[in-house]
Amino acid sequence: MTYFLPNSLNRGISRRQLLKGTAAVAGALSIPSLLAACGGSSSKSTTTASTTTSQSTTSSSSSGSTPAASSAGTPKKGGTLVIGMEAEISSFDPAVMTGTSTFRPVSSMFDMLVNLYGNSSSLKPDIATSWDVAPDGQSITMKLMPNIKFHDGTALDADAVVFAFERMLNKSNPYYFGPYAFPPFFFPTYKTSTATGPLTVKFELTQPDATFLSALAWNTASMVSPTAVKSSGKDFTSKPVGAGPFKFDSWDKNVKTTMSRFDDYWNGPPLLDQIIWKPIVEEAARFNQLLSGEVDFIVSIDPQFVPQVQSNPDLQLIQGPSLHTWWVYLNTHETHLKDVRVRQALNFGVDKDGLIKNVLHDTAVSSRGWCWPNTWAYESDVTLYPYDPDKAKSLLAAAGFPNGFDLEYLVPQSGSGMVAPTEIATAMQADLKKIGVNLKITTMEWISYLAATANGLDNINGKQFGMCQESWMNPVDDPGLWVEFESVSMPPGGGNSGYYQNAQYADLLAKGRTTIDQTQRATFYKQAQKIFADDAPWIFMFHSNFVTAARKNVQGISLNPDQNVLHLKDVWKS
Amino acid sequence: MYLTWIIRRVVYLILVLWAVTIVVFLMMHLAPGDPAQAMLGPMASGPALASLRQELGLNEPIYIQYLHWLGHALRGNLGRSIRQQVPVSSLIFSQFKNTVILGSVSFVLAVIGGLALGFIAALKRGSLLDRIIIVIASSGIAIPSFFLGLVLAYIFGIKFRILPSNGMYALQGGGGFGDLLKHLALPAITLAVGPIAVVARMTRSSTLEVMGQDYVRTARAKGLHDHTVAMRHIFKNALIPIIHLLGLQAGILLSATALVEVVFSWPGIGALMVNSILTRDLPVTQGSVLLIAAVYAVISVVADFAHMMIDPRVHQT
Repeated sequence: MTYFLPNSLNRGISRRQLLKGTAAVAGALSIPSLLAACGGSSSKSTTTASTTTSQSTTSSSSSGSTPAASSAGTPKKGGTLVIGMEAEISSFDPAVMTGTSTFRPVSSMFDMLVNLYGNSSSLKPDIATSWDVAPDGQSITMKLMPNIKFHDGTALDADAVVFAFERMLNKSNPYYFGPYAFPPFFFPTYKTSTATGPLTVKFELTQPDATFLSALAWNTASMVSPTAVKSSGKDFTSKPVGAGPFKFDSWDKNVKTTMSRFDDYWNGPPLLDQIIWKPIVEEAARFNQLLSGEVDFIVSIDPQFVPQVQSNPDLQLIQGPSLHTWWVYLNTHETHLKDVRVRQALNFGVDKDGLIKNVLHDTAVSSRGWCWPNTWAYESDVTLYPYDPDKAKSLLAAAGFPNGFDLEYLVPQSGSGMVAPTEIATAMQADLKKIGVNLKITTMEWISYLAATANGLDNINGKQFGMCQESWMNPVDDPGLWVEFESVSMPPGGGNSGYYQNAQYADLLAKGRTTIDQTQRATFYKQAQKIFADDAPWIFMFHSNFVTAARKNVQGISLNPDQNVLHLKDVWKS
Repeated sequence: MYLTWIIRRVVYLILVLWAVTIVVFLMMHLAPGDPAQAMLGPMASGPALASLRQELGLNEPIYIQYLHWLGHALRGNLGRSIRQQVPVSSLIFSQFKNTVILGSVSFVLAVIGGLALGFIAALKRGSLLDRIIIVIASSGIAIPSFFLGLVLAYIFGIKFRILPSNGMYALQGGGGFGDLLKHLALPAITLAVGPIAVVARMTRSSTLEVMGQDYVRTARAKGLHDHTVAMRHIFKNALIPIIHLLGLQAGILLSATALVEVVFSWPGIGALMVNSILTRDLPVTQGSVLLIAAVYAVISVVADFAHMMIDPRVHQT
């Protein structure tokens, strides 16, 4: 399920393991016939969403890329786009919703103050036209675009913005219907907001926080119609009113969600008449429906189906770089892993490029740490760990383990953002066996996995684990939103499941979060990345692309690096 | 006399349902992870998790949480989904209706198909037809429904595109009765195969048993037509043990829908229950399990009652 979606839960059932097996069966059944039907793959249908930019180089995967799909023909108005999604929408209320599988569809109905557009991974104005961060970093003043209307015709002004935040974060607000999971997590430093003019909003924070602005790009900060919230109360979750390009029509739970064109959209009306979102939890079933044309577009595709998409003349693979990081925690308390040489050896011992090619079918790029390539905080000059089993073996020998050792490896069966967890685990097992490290894999259902790893790897049902997997999707290119949580905060309560500790590193990250000037912040983050690469507390794995597949007649899809948002305004069907 | 029997059974039924709520509650608490963790996912940081748990009331002792839920449930309020914030009752009843549609069509298929196959096999005992039916029935019992579902979906839905393999209505322009029937075909057949096999085998053996009875021989000796003997003497009597079996099968069918619903994206209560367990959405799990258990229990009471009415030898114990 499902990125932060436990859904995966949302993307996920004991059904999960069960269906995983059956999906493989269905996949196996369909592959030969599909290949036969397509008679070779002369027509590679890969398209890259990227047209411009700073990030396009990270998409090494877009083999044979042609310009964006929109180049074919003149955009046509009208039509219905059916989108297959990996899990049912959990809620339409931005305060309530959790998980990428919900964020994505709902992003078409709500606008935010800031957003990401095109291939850029930096913030762009959306409803807010400009902003000023006070020199002390404790307040932000934003100017809003005039004449913006919600779907119900009411005005999106400074009062509406204040209302949207107060009703989520101020428990004494009469329209606070919490508890809410995400708002307090994303805006921990929010103190208050006030309308200082009809179109000016001032946010005050409890302490200097450079990440507050970045956090405004989480879908949680979507603008809701105060009138609608006041009249619907708790039921706003199934009667949402926003200001996005599409407005809500109906929600037939677990069947479909329908949205239609909002003609008064501030940035011009969208091309499509209607979008239908259909939850199809099972991977193989979702892909099959794209094949049969029952759906036009699927926004989450299992890497195993990528070759089939590429060789099918009716389909197109659309992918672009995204702000995703996938890694393996190494337990620094474990007897062998205490030694930095052993941790480095494991990094040398995993063939990441081979794994990206064979398991992920080039839908990812290998990583050097937590930071995304070609973003402002990225440091490219760090210690690298290319695949080198000989070097790995000599490092192990130097550390006193020439004959290798056994290591317990905890793996989720599936999970939000956890691309192909078990397949990758087995591939790693095969690689590390060659340097004498025997991985003993234990798999767990997603929520049990989250609960287990949240307490750290030292004691999971009475057993110490050496490694586990984790991933993170960020909305913007600001590491301050998550890196401290995953690599400094100790469990329980913190995400640093392998207990990595380095005072200098922790200090640099803290400075990165509280300093306001971005150039200065970048210096701190870059130094931190160098230390992190040397200490190797993780096995640095990969950054997954935003991977989607569509029927050939779907045009104008433009993905941006924030996987939580889909811009569908300019999409049309030929 | 029937009245006391019914009252007693209803009291049992209530006790069983009460026990079910306790078991579900305990099991959901024993499972690792809680709703707060499920909602926050990898973002379950200490402070965020602690405050969410506090607000959701997860820090209360289990029995307090249970009594709190029970108090509301007894007043007809099953609470709101933790994850979706919508009333549980609206979720479970709309989904349950879909399960009933799927389940009852499968049940009818199972009854007609199972009785016909079993009866024919018995009458033609030892013939090739009999053997074919036995083989089909044995495989029907052996094949897991989710596997059969995927295979059928692939063959009819993807390969030949004869029938839709997903959902309940066509997303666009659908909604009519014909559309529903088309969407029902594959999941209903998938679901019915197991019960058809069980009913067929039971019918066959029960029919064979009746065929060996003295009164059948007497009927034949009277010179009655084969057809009359089969329908009036054999079939009617062979039916008695099957009625009870059908009741059981109806219950089993209800629980088997969960897997089939997932495979065919059928928006039923089984799929809802499975998903709520995965997201640790306790009120939804509790509500859906309770509803399924209630229906199961009611079906079994009805089956017992029907059995008792048909076969006076069964004592009203």
